[in-house]
Amino acid sequence: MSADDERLSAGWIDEEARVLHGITTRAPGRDAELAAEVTRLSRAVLDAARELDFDDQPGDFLSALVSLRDDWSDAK
Amino acid sequence: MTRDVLDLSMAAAARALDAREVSSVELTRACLARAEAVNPRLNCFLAIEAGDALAAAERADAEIGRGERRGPLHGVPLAHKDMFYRAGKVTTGGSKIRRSFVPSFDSAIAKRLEAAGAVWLGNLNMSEFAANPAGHNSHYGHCRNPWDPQRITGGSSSGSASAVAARACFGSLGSDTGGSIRVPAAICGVSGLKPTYGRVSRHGALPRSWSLDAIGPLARTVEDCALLMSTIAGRDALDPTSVDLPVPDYAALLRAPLRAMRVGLPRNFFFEGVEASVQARLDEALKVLTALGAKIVEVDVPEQERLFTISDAVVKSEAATMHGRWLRECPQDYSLFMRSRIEAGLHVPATRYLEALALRGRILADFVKQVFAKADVLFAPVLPIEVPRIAETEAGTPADVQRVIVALTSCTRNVNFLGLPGLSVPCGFSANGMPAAFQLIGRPFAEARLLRLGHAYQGATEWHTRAPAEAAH
Repeated sequence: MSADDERLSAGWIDEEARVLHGITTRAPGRDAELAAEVTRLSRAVLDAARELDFDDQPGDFLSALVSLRDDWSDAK
Repeated sequence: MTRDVLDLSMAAAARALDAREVSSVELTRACLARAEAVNPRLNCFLAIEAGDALAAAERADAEIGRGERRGPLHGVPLAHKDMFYRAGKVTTGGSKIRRSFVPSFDSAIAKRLEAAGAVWLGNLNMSEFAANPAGHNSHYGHCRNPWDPQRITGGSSSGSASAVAARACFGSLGSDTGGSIRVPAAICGVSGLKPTYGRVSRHGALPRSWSLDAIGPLARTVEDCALLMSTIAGRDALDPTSVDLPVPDYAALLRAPLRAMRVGLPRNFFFEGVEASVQARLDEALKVLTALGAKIVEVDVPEQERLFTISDAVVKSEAATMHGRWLRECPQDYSLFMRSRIEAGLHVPATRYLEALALRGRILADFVKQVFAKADVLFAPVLPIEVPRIAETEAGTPADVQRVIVALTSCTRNVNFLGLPGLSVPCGFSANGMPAAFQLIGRPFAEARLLRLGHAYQGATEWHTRAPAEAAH
């Protein structure tokens, strides 16, 4: 996926659905739509991970929320 | 009491119960009568539990009569999105697949409401598996907006917003994964709060996305939302994602002074593409907040466009995990829309999904640092467009429909990825005569601050008291 207009092939999606997920009932053309969508979703995450310098250390989102919490004590 | 008890807010009804000016049975009978009257047109209830509700109301009256009042919700009739498990009660999740599903245990929400003595009137319509922001349901029929049945209710907590607006219950609990409380609240002209991720237990609530789901109130007023929040918030040992932080007395904090609260006005993203009549209502709301003593400060928010897509990758991956078995075994039982909303998640690589989750804390920290260093709360639209007609969300070209559907959650979805609280407050009517609303977004666990500002706004305006003609039937 080196160019913006590249996307997964419909055949890849079809094969993954059948072989890995046991799904065999998709409408004609649906695999191509999913290929475009999966490419778009995955590239957005990949680009963000590149730009934000992906951190390989353990993290916990709940702890992040708590550490950044509002000090509502001013409202008491 | 001589006036119609259904004109009361939840808080006013609670005060009337406390003063013995009205009984729980009277309130419950009034709600049940309204629900039976409006449901043929609005389809907001999937199940009305008249017998159980009246029995609960009688118990509440007896306890209150003995001086054993449990709290402000004791004896107050509520109804909830059909996704909170109760042992022995069908909980459909708005789906055909779970049309006969009977849980074997009570959700945390059900237990807390029972302990508070609230009356459960019935279960409310919702989007199938909480996945359609327009609020539609092809299995049980669309819920209708009491302000105009030809326009959408918003979703996925469609029945909650519709029933509260129609005065068929005094409040409701819904869930919000990308706007599912705030969007229908805005569209039906009621108040709605999406709490901070982890503030309310989700044990026994039908999930859509474990990383993004939040349970919260929809009610006529911000004060009513505060009452519900004080009941449902807090640590639950059965939900490891619930946070062990003290729960404020949200209602008591409503009356604290604003003290020149700094209201952040985003320079980028949130106001791009806002339709003129919606913008006019938002501008008026800002003037009211300024007159109340708030200080408006312009802020730049970190990039949001890509966040919308990253959030989508998380929702779809988690939803596909939950629905994988049914996608294999009974795909025909999904609506086309629902299936299309989850299928891509089967194919998003695990590495991308995990990257998205790993980035979340970093993105949150950047957002909080950039926005909340300058502002105490962020002011934004709930939805940037006027409330569309149902036909605009179903007919037309796929591109046209998709544009409307995406617009519905364009200002709310990222708030879930960030895990932040968001409050929807009605602020008038747009050019097509439908409700408009603003959104207040806060730091993690800033619910008290949002509620305080929203309550102050409602003390200076009367938009939240407006009722659709349907509420007079």
